[in-house]
Amino acid sequence: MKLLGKCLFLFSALLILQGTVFATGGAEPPGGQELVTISIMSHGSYLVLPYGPEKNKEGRWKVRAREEFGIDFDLWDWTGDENAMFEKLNLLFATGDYPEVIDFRVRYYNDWARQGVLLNIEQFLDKVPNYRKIWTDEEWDLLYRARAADDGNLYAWEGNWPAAPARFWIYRKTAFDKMGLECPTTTDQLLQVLKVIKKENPDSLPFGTRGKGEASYIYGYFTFPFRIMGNCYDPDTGDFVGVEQATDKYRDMMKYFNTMYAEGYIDPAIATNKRPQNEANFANAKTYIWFSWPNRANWAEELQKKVVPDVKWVVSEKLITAYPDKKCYYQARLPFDGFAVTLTDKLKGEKLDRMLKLIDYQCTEEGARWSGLGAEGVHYSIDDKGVIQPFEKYNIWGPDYDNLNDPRKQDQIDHAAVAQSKAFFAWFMRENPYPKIIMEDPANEPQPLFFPRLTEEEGKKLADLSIIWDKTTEWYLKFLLGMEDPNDDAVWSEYLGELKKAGLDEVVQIRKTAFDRTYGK
Amino acid sequence: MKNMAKEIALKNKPQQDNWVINTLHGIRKTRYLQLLVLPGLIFFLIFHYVPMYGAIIAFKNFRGGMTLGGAPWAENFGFEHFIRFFKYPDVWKIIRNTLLLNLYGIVFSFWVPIMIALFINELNSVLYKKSIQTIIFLPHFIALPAMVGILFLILSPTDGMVNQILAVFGIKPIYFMLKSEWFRPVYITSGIWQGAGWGCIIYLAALSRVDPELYESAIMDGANRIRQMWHISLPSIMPTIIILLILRMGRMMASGTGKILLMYSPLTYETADVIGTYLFRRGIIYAEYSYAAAVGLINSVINALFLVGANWLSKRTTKESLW
Repeated sequence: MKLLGKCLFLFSALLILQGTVFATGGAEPPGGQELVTISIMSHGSYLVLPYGPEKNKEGRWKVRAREEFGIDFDLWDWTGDENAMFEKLNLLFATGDYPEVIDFRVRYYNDWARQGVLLNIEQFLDKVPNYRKIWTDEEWDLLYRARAADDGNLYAWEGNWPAAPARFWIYRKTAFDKMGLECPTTTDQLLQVLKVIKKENPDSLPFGTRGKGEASYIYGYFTFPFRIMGNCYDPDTGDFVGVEQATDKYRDMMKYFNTMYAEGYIDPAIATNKRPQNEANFANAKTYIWFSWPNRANWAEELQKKVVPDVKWVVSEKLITAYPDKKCYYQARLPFDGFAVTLTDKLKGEKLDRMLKLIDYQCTEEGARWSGLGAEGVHYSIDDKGVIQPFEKYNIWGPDYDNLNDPRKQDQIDHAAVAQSKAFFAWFMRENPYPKIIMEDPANEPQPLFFPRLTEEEGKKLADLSIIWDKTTEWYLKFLLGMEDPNDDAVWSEYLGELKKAGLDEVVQIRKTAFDRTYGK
Repeated sequence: MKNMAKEIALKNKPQQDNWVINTLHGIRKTRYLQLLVLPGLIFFLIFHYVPMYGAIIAFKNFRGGMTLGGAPWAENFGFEHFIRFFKYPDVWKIIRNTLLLNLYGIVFSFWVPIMIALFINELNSVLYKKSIQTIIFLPHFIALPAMVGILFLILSPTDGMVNQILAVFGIKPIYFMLKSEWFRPVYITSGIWQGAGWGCIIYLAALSRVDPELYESAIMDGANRIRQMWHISLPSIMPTIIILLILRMGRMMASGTGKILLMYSPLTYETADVIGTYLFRRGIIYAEYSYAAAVGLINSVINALFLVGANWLSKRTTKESLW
């Protein structure tokens, strides 16, 4: 009997334990409904991203979706490698075994929409009434012009949060001051600065790069300074530019890169370096100037403090231009970002309804504020003037954010969901002054934006001619690495000849036709 | 009398007339062997033959979300994608690169495991033999991305070991991984380094079956080590060499696509871009599933032709063949 009693007690205890300690799923779903599981693949989605250094910690939105909307997001894959995720999704679409929700870069959605696997948003706008309300009429019109697929529909629940100029020139001020240098404002001045730095520090690689494929990133740093336009009529020349890599401005830029590389201002192994090698250059205090997000100044500082204790990186309030007689382009401010959630045709019934409810909530001021700022009284307060004041712990735009040991990473709050709270944006612009400075500087102007629409046949023809991009990339590297001299007219002619063989004229014609048709020229 | 004659006639009836009965009899006789082979047969049927039906997408315009049966047929009686492939401007370049990479692989790397096996076989000390074997096997176990990463480090123009050695001799750094003329040598050499040790296992196994009395007789006849190798060891493993060579020929249009994808860049497309990498770009990056399937099918058919041809040639010349 005693033994039987002990066994019964143990059994009961185990039952209770199983129901409490080991139970998964957290709180009861609303209204006693069953949880629905929605599969998602994400490139860093706010819906599922585990915040903080503990990778097994659930994101705030994941918990809230479960507790208040009855949705349990089943993360199929999360990868920071955009290319890998894109390839994986293509494979999954081919097999028919793809997730119900995708949170990724919007520019890929057109291809998938063409395959018929995505759900357009128009059919659900009556169930998500708040979505239309977050856009003004002008913004809504721009959204369609920029993002609509070939069939004229939208397939991404694009977020309304203005993408302002995001990257700036950052430089090591302490070193510049020691060498009597100012942050350059023209490309010629930049070369002079790099020359001085290299002379004083022969082992340095003064021009910084960081991520994988930085050879292409350098291109991205200088398209604005050189006012390079593509797939539109160039405001400077009036000519239609179908392939920017075949223009004189591009040649000027290649000559510039060629000089930078030849003089040793860039890492010689840049074309094959991966991120660790590039970051090592920062860590070894070899780099002095870079074009990046403002909080990367903090990042660079933290890395270099071990070698140069008094190092200080700052953000320049000026842009660099190759044509001082003209204004310098900056990234035009758009009311959307480029990453968004899309729903696939696998999402049906109750799951679809709940997902739409979640999206609708995120479009309210309350939902948007919760996304971008958190809960009032927990993550921020509002002062008597009605101004948002995040608690210091959550102020991710503070001066030392991106510190590798930053405790604020414990509960990162910087991902707006579908809508951005106006309160959040006001606070953001206050905390991060650089976009406003750049935009208000009369020496600068926003880069013109155009969104020409291709027909399906034109898209197919361009896909057939994609070999031209292999050629442009090949020669870009050749010019950069000094394997070919862009100053040599014969070499430049040879390059253009190869582009022509690859279909340059046809590509230009297709793009011009699409542009003229879209803009009624 | 008549019945007896009939009986005798039946008894003496040629066996081939009863082939059905003979077959059934044979199956019954070897039923346990059949049972042994059956799982393997089912495996191949399910995972190799049934999926062949999927090759039909090469003749259709298949898109994500469609079923195989639901996808519309391609134009030109389903051969639209095949025609398109041969209209691709660089088609002969990628075919050339594929063939050359494999040809160089055969010429420069096929014989290396054979030589290694022959030399290891000559070692007397068992401990030494085993140690050498283990050391040369090890590179095979390095994962491909790791191996390519090692290559990038060793060949780096700034602090790579190779360029540092070249600098001692006053030679300027060479950006090996970005020069198309260096792609094939690097690819083949790294393949030999990684695969030769593993590849010699099968030859060592074949050499272990050689009758030691043959070597003793050769010694008595005055043959030295080289002669023994040439007249005994090598002929003993010749059937194995030929079979493996035939199989290798059957992959003339295949290539280590994964390794090439990790190694190549637009600067090396001239020599590095092969059918596999082209297929990857079109099929996975551009999601042109039907087109990629067509290219893959062409590739497989040519491989099959090479295999059949190599087998026939071998049968005619050496009497050794796969079938």
